[in-house]
Amino acid sequence: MKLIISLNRKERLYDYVSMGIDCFILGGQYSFYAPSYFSLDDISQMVKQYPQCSFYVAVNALYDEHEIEAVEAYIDALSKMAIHGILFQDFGVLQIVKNKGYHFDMMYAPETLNTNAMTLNVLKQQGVTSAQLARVIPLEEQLSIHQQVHMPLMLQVHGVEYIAASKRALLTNYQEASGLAFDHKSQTRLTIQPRNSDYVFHIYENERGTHIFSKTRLYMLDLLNQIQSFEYLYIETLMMSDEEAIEVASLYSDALKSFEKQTYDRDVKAYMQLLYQLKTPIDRGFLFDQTVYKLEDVRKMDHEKNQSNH
Amino acid sequence: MRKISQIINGKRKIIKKPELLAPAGNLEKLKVAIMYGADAVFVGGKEFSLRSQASNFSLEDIQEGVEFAKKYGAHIHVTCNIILHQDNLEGLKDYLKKLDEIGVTAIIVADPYIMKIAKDMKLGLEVHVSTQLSTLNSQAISFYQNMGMDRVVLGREVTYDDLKRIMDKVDVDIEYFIHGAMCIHYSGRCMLSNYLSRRDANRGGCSQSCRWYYDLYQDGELVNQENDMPFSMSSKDMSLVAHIGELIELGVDSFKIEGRMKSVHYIATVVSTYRKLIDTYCEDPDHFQQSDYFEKELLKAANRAFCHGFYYEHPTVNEQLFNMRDEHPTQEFVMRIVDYDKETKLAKIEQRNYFKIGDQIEVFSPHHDNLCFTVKKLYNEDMEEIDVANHPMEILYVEIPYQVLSNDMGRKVRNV
Repeated sequence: MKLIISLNRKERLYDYVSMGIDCFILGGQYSFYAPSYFSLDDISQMVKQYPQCSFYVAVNALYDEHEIEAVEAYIDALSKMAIHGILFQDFGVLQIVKNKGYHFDMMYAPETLNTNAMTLNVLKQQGVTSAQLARVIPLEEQLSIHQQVHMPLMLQVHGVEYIAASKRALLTNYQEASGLAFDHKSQTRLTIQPRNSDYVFHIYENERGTHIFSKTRLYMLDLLNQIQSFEYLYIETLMMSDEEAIEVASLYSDALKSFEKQTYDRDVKAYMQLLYQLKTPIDRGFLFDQTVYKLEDVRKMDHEKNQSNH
Repeated sequence: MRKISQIINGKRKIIKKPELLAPAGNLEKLKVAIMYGADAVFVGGKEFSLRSQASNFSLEDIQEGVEFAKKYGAHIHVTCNIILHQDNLEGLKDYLKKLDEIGVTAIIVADPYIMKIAKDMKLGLEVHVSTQLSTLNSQAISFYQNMGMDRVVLGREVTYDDLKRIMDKVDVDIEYFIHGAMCIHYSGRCMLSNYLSRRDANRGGCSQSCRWYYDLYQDGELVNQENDMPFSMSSKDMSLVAHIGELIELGVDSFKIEGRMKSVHYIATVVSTYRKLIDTYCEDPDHFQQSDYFEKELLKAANRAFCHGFYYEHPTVNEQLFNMRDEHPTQEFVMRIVDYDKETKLAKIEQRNYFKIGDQIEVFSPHHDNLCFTVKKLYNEDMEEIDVANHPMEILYVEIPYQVLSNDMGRKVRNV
């Protein structure tokens, strides 16, 4: 069980390393989304400066045919650095790495698709060496998957949750259609809320399209006893201020140390108090919830919802 | 290198005609799709299939569909395209075995575990990679080809230029969407429904939450006021009717029409339009003249505005729907022809929607050009004269001055 964090600022790397965190996901030119995007030079410098750390680079978009050669050249460049692995979701990335015979840890992180153990074991045979589990499944299922999968798994423990992504410029298009003025390029200023729903989502646009994330942060600070078998506990710093990212990383880092010293059960309440003091919206996502999909279950759920509304 | 055309008797003809693949939500639609010209039909089974709200097929239905298709030289593909969860693994092998025994041509799959199982079982059926995996490039296609996949259904985000590049590089079957609704987000990567409705989009429960109305806030302040257009994420439907020739020349193996939940009239109209278009083009590609006839035909059944999707480049504001305008088809399906008596000129029909004496009806068919007539004589099953037809599925008789055929369809011409 070790922490892995999406690096939000190069200047903060020292702080994280000082806390004992030694595993990082770096955004780069071909990342789908990231709290910060680092150049190849930046990545090279960080890797040289912190040889004791493991760095993954997020090459995790879905790539069009016209850019796949450039992605290949980018992976070639990464192969010349001592990075530990690549986070990806496009099997084209895996195919390039296999063709070239590179030895990255290939972490399959397709946001929504890693929902059972058998599939991950099949993918292991195809060259996947680690994976991030989907967030939309209950903790019980995540634990069951972990027991049956024969590769290291990463579980997001804190931060905003991925909801959806479109290749379209949905905010630009809306601005054009509505004539309304708003800052559609800001990563954090805009939110959307469906009418008749309490859910609020972050939304922003970049050159890869439109990205939607939860406004609330998933948290598992008090669940270390349950999730201790996972190899990587991931903190997503997207949408966080510098201060929040540092505070959250520090809390989890301390909690893990406490867990190792077997004082966690005593300390966890204090850690949770500190988390509440950050005053950021937090929730449990699907950890203790279920989705339905069969027509009869959908009808039953709708019926129950209607009953409770009356 | 795909050989697309050949000179025959001094004239270039297309020898690699693409498969026309149609959707069907039930047996009636399956049969209509085939009768109206589909080379293959894709259906969902009761298990392992998305679109849980489409009236999915039992194994017996699929068997009947396969037997019907065989009579026309057509094929049945079955979607097994859910993303499996831990509790969905049971019964999979038995199900695939049964599909194979029934004579299904292909399964459409999104989960690599099903891909592997289907290949390991050495079944006769083909395994196609679903669009749910949003495959956009040749390297990803190679990955699936190395897993033994027989066909890749590309993501709807693939442009014509990228499709051309892909077709130059790969030698596995490629299926491309030509018509139908579009997910606004990357397929398989959208969890809006999961979060907003607790319905799992990747297992067929999608509540289409993207099409809901949303309020937009900046720094917590409402951007769209009461009278402003709400934010929404809804795409116009895609139609590549104007580009079929280009796609045929690329050697695309299969043209896919989306819409397992669409009506029988929609399926008949869309399939027969593309059938005629493909056949006309392939017969004499160098003298083919694109006319607006085909688009007008499609509009007779469309209930959402058309766009080109990603065909050219990034869809703009013009490819989205913000006001959710109620787009009515230009014509309304009112009857299916059961039989026709040449002597009395009476057609036995199955009524589908309201029509009356004086209405103008257009009869369309896979076998002849469209015919128009005005309803002058209408009888019930007891041959009593009536003025209106207002009981769906009732058997009636209507006088039609031209010969029509069994399974032709009649649609009321709307005054628009």
